[in-house]
Amino acid sequence: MAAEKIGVPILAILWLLLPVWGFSQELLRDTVDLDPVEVAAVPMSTFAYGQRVRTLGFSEAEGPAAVSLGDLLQDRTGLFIRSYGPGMTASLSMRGTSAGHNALFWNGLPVNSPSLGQADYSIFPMAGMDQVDIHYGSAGALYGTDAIGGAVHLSTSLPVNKKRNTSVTTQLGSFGNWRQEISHQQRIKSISFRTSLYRNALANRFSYTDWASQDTPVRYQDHAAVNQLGWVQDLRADIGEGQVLKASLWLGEIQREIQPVLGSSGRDTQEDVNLRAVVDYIKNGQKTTWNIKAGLVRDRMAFNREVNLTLQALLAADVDWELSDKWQSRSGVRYTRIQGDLSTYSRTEQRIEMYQATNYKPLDNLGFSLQLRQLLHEGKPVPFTPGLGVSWTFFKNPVQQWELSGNGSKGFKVPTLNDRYWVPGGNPDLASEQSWSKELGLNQKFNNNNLQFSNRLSLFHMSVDNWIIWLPEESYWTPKNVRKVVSKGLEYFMEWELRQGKWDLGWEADYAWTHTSNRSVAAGNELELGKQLPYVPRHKVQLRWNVKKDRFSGFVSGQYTGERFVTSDNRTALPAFSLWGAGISHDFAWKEWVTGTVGLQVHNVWDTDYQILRLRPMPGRNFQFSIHLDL
Amino acid sequence: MKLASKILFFSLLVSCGTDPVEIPRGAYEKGVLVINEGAFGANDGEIYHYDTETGEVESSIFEKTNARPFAGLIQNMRSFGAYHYLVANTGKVEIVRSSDFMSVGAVEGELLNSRSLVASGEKLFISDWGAYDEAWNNPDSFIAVVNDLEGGSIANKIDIASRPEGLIISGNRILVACQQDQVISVLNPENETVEKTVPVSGTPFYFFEYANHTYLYANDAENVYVHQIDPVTFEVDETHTFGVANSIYNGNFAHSGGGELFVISNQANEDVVIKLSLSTGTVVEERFYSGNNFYGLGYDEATQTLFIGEHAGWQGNGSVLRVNSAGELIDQLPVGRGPSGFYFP
Repeated sequence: MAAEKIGVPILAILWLLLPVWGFSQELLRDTVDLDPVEVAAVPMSTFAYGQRVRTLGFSEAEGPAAVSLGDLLQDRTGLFIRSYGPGMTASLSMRGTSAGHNALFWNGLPVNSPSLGQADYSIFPMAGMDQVDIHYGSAGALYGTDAIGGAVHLSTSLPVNKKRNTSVTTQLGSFGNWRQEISHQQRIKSISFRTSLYRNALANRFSYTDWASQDTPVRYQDHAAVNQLGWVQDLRADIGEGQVLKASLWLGEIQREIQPVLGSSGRDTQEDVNLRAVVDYIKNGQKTTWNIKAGLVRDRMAFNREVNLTLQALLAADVDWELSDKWQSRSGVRYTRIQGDLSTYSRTEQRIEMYQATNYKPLDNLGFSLQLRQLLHEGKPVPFTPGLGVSWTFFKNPVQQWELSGNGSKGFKVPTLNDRYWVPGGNPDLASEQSWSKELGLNQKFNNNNLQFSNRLSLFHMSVDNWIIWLPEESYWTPKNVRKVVSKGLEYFMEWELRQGKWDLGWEADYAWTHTSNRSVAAGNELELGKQLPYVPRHKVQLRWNVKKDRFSGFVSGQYTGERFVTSDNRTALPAFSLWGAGISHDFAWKEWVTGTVGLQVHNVWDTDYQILRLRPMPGRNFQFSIHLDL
Repeated sequence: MKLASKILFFSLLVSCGTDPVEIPRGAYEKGVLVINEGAFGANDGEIYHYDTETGEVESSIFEKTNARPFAGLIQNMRSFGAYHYLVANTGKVEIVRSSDFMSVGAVEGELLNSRSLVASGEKLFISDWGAYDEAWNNPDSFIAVVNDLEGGSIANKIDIASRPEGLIISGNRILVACQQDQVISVLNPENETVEKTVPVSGTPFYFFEYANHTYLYANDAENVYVHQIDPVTFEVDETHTFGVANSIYNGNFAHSGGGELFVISNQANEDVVIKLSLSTGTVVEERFYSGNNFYGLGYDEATQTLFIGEHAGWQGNGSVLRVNSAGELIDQLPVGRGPSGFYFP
């Protein structure tokens, strides 16, 4: 058993490393094929020495491949997405945490539902973002509540080098799936704007084996249709003297037939209407950058006939100082007002946060980050939240760089509105969940004229206390701070790119080994002690090979998701599965005013019958044909 | 050799002529069947088998036998003739052979929230709450009729009082306990009509028989009621009222076969099994056994052992506590998710 636990990840790393060492040359980045984006404000990740932030960019051509943020993270990273079916509810598990232990931001706005305390990653279509940044590990001091396992940042950005552009994308897929997106961007003097409209219509009529019925017949899914519409508006005005005004609005609606679990005849429906709006005023000075942010997030969810409405209004201000070459600082304050009108209660509350982040770089190859945050929840302080990171480049020459990094940080999660006020069962006396996280990393980058590659290895250890679990009591359930969980693991990421003549070859690999252990449980649940949390795979591997020559490009991708336990006592498990995909695309130009890309992709090539969650069938082999035009 | 053969042949003839034909009992026709309800949204209900001779627990016998998961929440298991009927409140009934648990049929399609079942002649009568309305009531409850003991499609749906639960055959009628309306509906299985409704005290759940009488178990927040039903008029002849507060909401109880009932009371910091006597109409033991997460009860008359199912907070699989007649724990067995009931073949 011990050999299995230790041996597999080590072998996997060695296997992944072998081809890299086989090449005796060049470079890398910590990102995936991204277009350059402009960010006027200083990003939070600036103050994250010793922590891992991975940027996922996506070209216009490959953007349509993923319908939603959930699909993107599942396909392109070592993160595990708990998906209830294609287009259905999807939540993120980072470093063994639960769905509510990850913070999600859109243009700096926290968009986790304040009532549920988590985000449904399936309702964030790719049309609403230009870039995804994943911050691995606890970052409560940087981002506030929920960022125990990590944080995901979505952002839109207007390329200032484009004066005018109109793009149209359409995608036809198997099972009656159809996606469309039209976007127009224009710059008039110092004002740029972009308007994007999208529509995703997924019939999801895929075949599946009905294991719940006698003789296990093959049926066609008849209650998983998804209809999604949205409007994304970005505006940027350079108002002179280093001042920028940015505004973004995202109005989206998604109507879903909820795919029933096998064996149930449920015909539930869900409609989500989400409004997100944010305005940033940024002033760049010689040594300072001011950022004032105002935002609004309104989520309306109607599950069958039950309507739940939440509203978050945010006002924040911070200032970045370049005190010297060695010192950099950010000080800020954030006020959030939350209002919840749920089917069983209504509640309003306020939060005020003060934060301070400082970078100290005593040497060119050595940097420290110190982050501090204090949140006042309804006037009462939640535990003070610090974080400290260090990054040391111990070897560097013109083509190669080696770096050691480490950090220790605290995270927290304020109990959700439902945890405290749901009727019946809400427990207003709940304490905030808290975590302590430690991490060590080794990073390597190589770069010469035609080859670049990088490797990153992280080891982490995290302890989450006061973990909230809903437990049955008499005739209803109530949440309690009962669980303590220790999560430890290893993450390895590798990427290389070789340019040879007209050929551009790339390979990326992402592996996560996650071991969780219940250290304290509710009375009567002793069988859970020491066990892996449900639906946290010990192993997840993601691989992708890219090739590009002239106007042709292609990829092959694969992912492996290890066994997942269904129950906390680890007596029931779902088998591991592997999925493979491939795609080709071709760029074209017609006349002088139309360029575009036509592509074909196939997913689940081997028609694997798999379930991410038990009794929730997933689609077999499927195809997508897409056309993207730039006018 | 010839003589030996003749003697053997003769002995076989005598043997066959004088003893009843012995058919070996199936693996699951002895021991104890544990009904694990399963967790909401996970549909992981299953049947486990406890071998009383070896002490072994065999998990998921439906899935092992039929090479597919049960995939439902098991509300009830009833046994008629050679078959067990697994009634799922997720809208289906699976029918398996009692001897080996091999599936022989199913009822699917129009069931929504099926609760229990009774076989009468060649028909199956299945209680079903029907769909929920906006206020989470069930105004369209029904009894589904299937004209085949091995399942198939629903031939008729009989409107019935809200939230029909347990059923029993009494004489030539079927009695249905209807929770929401707190009545007994009297059903004629021949013409498939409701002939009468009888109001009762408390929320009625399940019927049982004792000393040639039919009884109905009911409860409310303050009391447990045991109604004795008149076999002709189906009115309540007599009601035993026990001052047991907070008896478990799912109506689970166990009858010893000798006029003693065991019920679970959810108290402030623990769950308590209370022992009642039908003959005296009194609480015999207020704390027969106590613990946490109690969910189901069963009583093995052969060994006079109480089986208590505990659900482990629904975070994982549960366990079964075996308790002897003195209220002492014998052992604890690992079982499936939400052990809610027991069957003693």
